[in-house]
Amino acid sequence: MMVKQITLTLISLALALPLLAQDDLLAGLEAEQADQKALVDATFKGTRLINGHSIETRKQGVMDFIIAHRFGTIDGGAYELFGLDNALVRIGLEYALTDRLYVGVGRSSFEKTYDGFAKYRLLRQSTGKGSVPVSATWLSSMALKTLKDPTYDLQFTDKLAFTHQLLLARKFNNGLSLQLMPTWVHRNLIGETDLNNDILALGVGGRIKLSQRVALCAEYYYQFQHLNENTQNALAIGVDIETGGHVFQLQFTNATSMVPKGFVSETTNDFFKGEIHFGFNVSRTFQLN
Amino acid sequence: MKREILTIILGLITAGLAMAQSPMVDRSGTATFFSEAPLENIEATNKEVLGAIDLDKGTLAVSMLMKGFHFDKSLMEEHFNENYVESDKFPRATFKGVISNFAALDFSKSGSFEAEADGEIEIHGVKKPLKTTVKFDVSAKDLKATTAFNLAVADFDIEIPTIVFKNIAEVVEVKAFFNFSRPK
Repeated sequence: MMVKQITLTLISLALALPLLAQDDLLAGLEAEQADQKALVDATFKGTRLINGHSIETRKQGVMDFIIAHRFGTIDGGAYELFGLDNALVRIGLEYALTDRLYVGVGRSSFEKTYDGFAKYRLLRQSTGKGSVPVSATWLSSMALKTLKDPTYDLQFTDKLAFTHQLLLARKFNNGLSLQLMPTWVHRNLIGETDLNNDILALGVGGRIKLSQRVALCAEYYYQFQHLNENTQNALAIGVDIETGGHVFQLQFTNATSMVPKGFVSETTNDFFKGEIHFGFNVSRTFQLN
Repeated sequence: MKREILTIILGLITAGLAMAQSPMVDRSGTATFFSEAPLENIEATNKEVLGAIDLDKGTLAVSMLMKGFHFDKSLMEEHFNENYVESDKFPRATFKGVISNFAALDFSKSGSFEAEADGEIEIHGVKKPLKTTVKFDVSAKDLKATTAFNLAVADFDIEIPTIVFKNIAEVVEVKAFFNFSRPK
């Protein structure tokens, strides 16, 4: 009888014990938050790594206005003011329909090209319980060349080219992010001296943060097939500077075009012969709702 | 048999008493901060703040994840986490302290009164002493706690670059609210 009573009392007390034992209030609270899942933000500063897209999209309701310039090649020397006498422009307007879906249109002066793209975040890197180690974003881009060609009577569909990319990135820490970009470029029509309608390429890129607001970026696209005998792989090295609502990206690249099908597969300049364009992207963000 | 039942009841009462004295926790406390600068006002709210009060010892604790702060502009939120408080490195802000006038207060009676909280706040990995007045609204059902204080951003090694100097205040106003339900 007595034993039973003692046992029951002990059980009751044992039930109350863990609550009494919580000596350090704060430690108890922190333990509750320890494993909470959190998305990894800001793998890259902008929606572009340099020439190409990064895995980043804007948050729902944000509009981004991007002006990009690529000047002539710097090997033109002082006479051409290192390429500054010639400038190609792309003006783009982009909008985040949701936190995952991002769409945009643009117009490049190079070959009077219109382009449109849709980008969808498939996976988002996270920490904590059930974390995901990488971010993955799908990009589909379409480009329409409207430069008049007097020699051929081209249909609308003949002037289209498509690029699909699976962008994979990981932010290793605050200072280092790397990205892989398997890429497929398709042209409906190619020229007489061209070899391939379809080109597969693999891009690699990354950024190293030099300070909270300045980062060094690099990007390279290796092509498994070439459009023709003159094309080169696109290489770009740049600096990102972020100031509140703006991101300034300054770069040196051998690519002339600012749309994916162009810089991936139509680059003819050789970076290592000094055929390098100086350029910049300026992005301004507006929160619409 | 009667004695056994009595023992269980006694045991449960003991446990019940222990429960009453154990810390009360609010898992959906609110913290806001407000920055008033010439070019823009910035406000952010975190509605997942953990707060605890131990009415046995008169101790307090607060812990919040920095990523729980939400801003009107999503880019501000990104910059807050990435450039200013470095949430990857320092995921939370905490407070730990005591009610210095605890002996003079009666938390068992309904009514409102002010308590002096004295402790240590940690933000961005930097610990600073903090004294603030907490207003309590006590009822039989719950315990509501409200506080407000100012923090200088520079005290916590958070750098404001000159280019956004007119966008971010040097001193921000912090408010917090908790509702602790009494155990039934």
